[in-house]
Amino acid sequence: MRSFASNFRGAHLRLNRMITQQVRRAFVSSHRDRGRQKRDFRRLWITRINAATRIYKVFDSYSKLIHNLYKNELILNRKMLAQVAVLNPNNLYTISNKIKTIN
Amino acid sequence: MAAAPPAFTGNLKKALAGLRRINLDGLRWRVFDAKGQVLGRLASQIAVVLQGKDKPTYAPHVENGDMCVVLNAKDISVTGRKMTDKIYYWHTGYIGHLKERRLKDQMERDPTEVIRKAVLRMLPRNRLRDDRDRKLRIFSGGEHPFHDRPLEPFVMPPRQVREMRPRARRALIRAQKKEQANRAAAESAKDEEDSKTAKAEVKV
Repeated sequence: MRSFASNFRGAHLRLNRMITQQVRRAFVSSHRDRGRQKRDFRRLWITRINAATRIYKVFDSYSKLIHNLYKNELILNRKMLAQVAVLNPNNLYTISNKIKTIN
Repeated sequence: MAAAPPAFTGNLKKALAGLRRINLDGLRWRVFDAKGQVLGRLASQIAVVLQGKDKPTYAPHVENGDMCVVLNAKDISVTGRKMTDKIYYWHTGYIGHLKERRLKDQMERDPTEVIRKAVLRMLPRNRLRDDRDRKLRIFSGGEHPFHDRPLEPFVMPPRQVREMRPRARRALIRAQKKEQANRAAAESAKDEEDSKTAKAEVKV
């Protein structure tokens, strides 16, 4: 446990009492934040997709985009493909065109 | 590069204040024209742009918003009776010293503060708020010292104006009819005068 706490600050890595406390807290927050991480990233992706749809595509918002995606059963597009928005904006165009033609 | 005279030497310092502190200049300079815009609706758009939330490279821990220049702050409009009835409250910290000021008075003192307060209170209260404040430049007139920057005018998204409530609509129609009646009365009065003067000339 001392080795786990080896990069803590000040007394938190030297004194046994503090080590036990701080290591426990570290585990708790890491456990809690693993759940949070999923939420936070999804939030970030949604914001990014929202921005990208407002700039590039004719869909006026994230909500309309997602609605159309679900209508056309394009479930492949997880929120993670906000990466698409950042790196390859052209692919966004192809996706939206596909949606519109199916519509 | 209009022939806008560098007419605000006093405020020039304030306008350029802290420009050096703002890091990346890969930022765009967006120009908002506040003439005739409703206060809150404009402020929410400014807040979105200022946070950088209209860019697909948004990250919540990085300050990446565009520079926002707001012009014609004194021509901002508010609906309802807010011009006389909206009160800004603040407490100085001393007991009993709750101060207040109405929108009308604030506009007389410093119209830029109205927009600034509105936008700042719409930004998230975190450590980036001060930096975002630094990126916001508001001018009460239409001139600004930033003519040598690549400015981009911001187009407000189309607004869905709510349909008027029946009583308000009736009041509006009544007011219009009254105006028409007044105008007709003024015209008929003018016609009488003209005919009188014509008769006077003819007599003479």
